[in-house]
Amino acid sequence: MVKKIIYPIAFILLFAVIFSLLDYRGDYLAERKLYFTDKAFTAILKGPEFIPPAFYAQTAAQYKDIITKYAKTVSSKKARLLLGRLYISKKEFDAARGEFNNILKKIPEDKNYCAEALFAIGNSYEAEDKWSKALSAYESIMDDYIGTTRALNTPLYIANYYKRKNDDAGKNNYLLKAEGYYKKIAQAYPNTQLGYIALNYEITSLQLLEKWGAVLEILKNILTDYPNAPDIIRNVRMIEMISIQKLKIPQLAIDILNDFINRHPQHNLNNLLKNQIKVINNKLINKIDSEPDNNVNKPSKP
Amino acid sequence: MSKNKNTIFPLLNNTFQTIKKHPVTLFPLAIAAFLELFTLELIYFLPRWPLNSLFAPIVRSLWGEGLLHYPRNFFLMYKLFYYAQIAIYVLVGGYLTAVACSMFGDINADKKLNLKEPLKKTAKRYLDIFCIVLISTICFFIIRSAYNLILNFIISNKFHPYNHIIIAIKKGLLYSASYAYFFLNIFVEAAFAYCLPLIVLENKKILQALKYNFIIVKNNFITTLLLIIIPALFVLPLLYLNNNASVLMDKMFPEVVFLLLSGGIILSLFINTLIIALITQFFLSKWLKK
Repeated sequence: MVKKIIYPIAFILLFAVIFSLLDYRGDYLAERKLYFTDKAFTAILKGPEFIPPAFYAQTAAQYKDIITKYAKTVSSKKARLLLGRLYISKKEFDAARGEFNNILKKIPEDKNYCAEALFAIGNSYEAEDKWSKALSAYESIMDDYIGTTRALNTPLYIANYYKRKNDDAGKNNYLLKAEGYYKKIAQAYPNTQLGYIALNYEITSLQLLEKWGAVLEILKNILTDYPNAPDIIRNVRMIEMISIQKLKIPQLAIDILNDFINRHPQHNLNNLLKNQIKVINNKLINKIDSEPDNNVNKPSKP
Repeated sequence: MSKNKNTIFPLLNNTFQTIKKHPVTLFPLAIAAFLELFTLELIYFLPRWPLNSLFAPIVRSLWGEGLLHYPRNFFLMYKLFYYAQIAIYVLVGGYLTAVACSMFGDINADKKLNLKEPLKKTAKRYLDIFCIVLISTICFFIIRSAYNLILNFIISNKFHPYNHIIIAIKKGLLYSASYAYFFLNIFVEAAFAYCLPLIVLENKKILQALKYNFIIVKNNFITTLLLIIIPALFVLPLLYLNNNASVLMDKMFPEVVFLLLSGGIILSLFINTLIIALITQFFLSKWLKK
């Protein structure tokens, strides 16, 4: 009877040992170790001034352990970035930049990670109040790592920096620069996902500059060039909002939607768009009826 | 109720003593528990080489890449283990429960107890047992789906969206959904409780077993329900912990999910053996009286 209990338990334990050993340098164990090290790092970030130096050293050692033991895994790349950020939290900026430069040297083929490393270098200069060096790092991302998520976010990040410093002129200058940057990418990569994302970022820049006419023009181009984009309904709603609330010319929305319907007569959203045109027309008619002295032109037939 | 009390508590005590005296009666469901533990272990190692080379494409296409990485793979563990448990129960668990029932029948008849005889004897009725188990499982899913439909209607915005008391009730219903499924399961188990004893001990065919089962259940519904609910209530604390798994994973460590599921398997072994023993003893007392 004892054998009947012990043998199955032994089998399950043996299976566990074998499968644990088969993957002892694999991604999973690296992820596990990174998860617990990250938890420690998160605890450090909540109050870095209260953390004893030994705890910092232990966390740094754990990141280094992941980097050396699991060198070929994705977790080791993440560990390099996080180790640098740990140094930043300890205000050891040179050590942090050393780690980030290691990423640029050792994993040059991974553009996303290199962009993140360069961004972190910029953050370290920002933390030291060396804005010109930080800006130089950020602009390197925009030039050398086009197409990465970080490169697309960076112009707006820089504009936001100026906003935080209450430098409206600096903010607006950079938003104009950002708009030009995104326009260049959209023109260089037409009809691609990158081109589409760049156009959306251009819209964001122009919204922050409150250039509603230009936003509307780009939205119209997006509808024309990317009729099957996943967030087409969001774009339609933006067209309505800008035409009606910002520019106060609802006819613009009607014209854009009609143009889309004429260009894409078989599109599955056409019924929705026709309903929206009716709604806008009804709002217009109600507005005209309630304000008899209003000089706004009567809406065109849908 | 006092009639039930006079039946249930002596029966509980008697059954508990029987299992203690004949621990070999735990073996049939221990085999099912072993299969579940082994399956759970396979699921635990699924994101790791070499199992991930086989299963990762399937998981990726069904549930996305995220569930193949630590610690989100433990959420996948719940999903996969749930489906695996159903498959094990339908294919093997029902048969092993019937074997346990046969052993309790032998104890009642003062026969010599071993594992091989009931395994062989019950194997001859495997197809009937499989059909009964499949029917009861399908019934459970139908009732659960009906409950979900009603629940979805009640919690939808169409149903009194602005009444604060109704909103509080909606939140309560959502939170208690897993407990509702637990009690629905008990209800379905009670509805089909005597099918296996009728097939294994009285050699009835499926339709006859179903017919006599419903007659016995109809005449002894409260007692049957209590015989199943009382042992099953010991699972509730584990159910509470499983409902709060994400909090536990964050406060303790993600592997706590594996421990909870393993603990559930071991606990279910004892509870399910007790339940089948109670049902069999009660059935024999009622059937023999007839």
